Amino acid sequence: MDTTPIEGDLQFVKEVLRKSEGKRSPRTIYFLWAAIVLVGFALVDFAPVRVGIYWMIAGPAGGVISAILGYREGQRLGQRDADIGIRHCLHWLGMMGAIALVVILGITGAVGQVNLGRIILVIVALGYFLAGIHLERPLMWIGLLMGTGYVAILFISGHTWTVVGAIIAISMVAAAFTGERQSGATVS
Amino acid sequence: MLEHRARLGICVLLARHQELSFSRLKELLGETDGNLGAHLRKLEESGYARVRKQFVQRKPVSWYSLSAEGRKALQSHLHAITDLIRKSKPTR
Repeated sequence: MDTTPIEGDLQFVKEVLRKSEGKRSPRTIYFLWAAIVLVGFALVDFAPVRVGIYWMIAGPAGGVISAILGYREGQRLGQRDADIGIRHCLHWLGMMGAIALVVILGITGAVGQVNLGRIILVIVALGYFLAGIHLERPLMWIGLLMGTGYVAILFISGHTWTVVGAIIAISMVAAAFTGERQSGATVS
Repeated sequence: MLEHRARLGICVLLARHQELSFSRLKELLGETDGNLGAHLRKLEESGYARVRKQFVQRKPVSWYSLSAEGRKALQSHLHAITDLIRKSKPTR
């Protein structure tokens, strides 16, 4: 039996599916986190006493805003992927949970404030790197950049946190413009 | 029902994604409004797909999802296709 038409159909379905999976997070999420990181990292150099409270508010608030932006993008595009949304939530909540556990070390005095920031940076770097592997590829490069920034912070004095934050923010803005984003339409 | 490539494509897309709008399906499949509407109606009538109407920014949006029956039918159809292709290929 000639199965060429069936194979053609399967090839068509495969292409359609590949097209539907090329969806990436909206640029606004990348811009949002670029701004949050830029301010948050600079605070370590210029107002260290405000770093804790800043991240306690900006971290979860950024997460909630990102979820809303992601949901709205799905509405605009006409594609709802609850599984992907849940995967994103679990990933970033897991990272925030790990940070919260490390903060306890700072509160109990087991780790000093200087080292606490560095440990958190390593966790965030790992979080971004793994997000790049499992969720969106550009995040992997941002994670690697954060890891490099951690090494720079260990060995270079001065306003290193500010410089690292600025580099990460620029890379996030650059990542927002890489890859294909889908146009979508809302009229049905 | 799933012998037509457009209907097969719709079901595979709906199996992969939770819900897709009419306009998104149209964009992905490259079908005209009329053709896509007809395919979706057939899938609805056979109980394979479900539709939910909603207003987004004052515009009506039809969201489509795959029913349990549709999922089952898709699985058995894909198994049948795989078997057919495997049997038709010469064994070494």
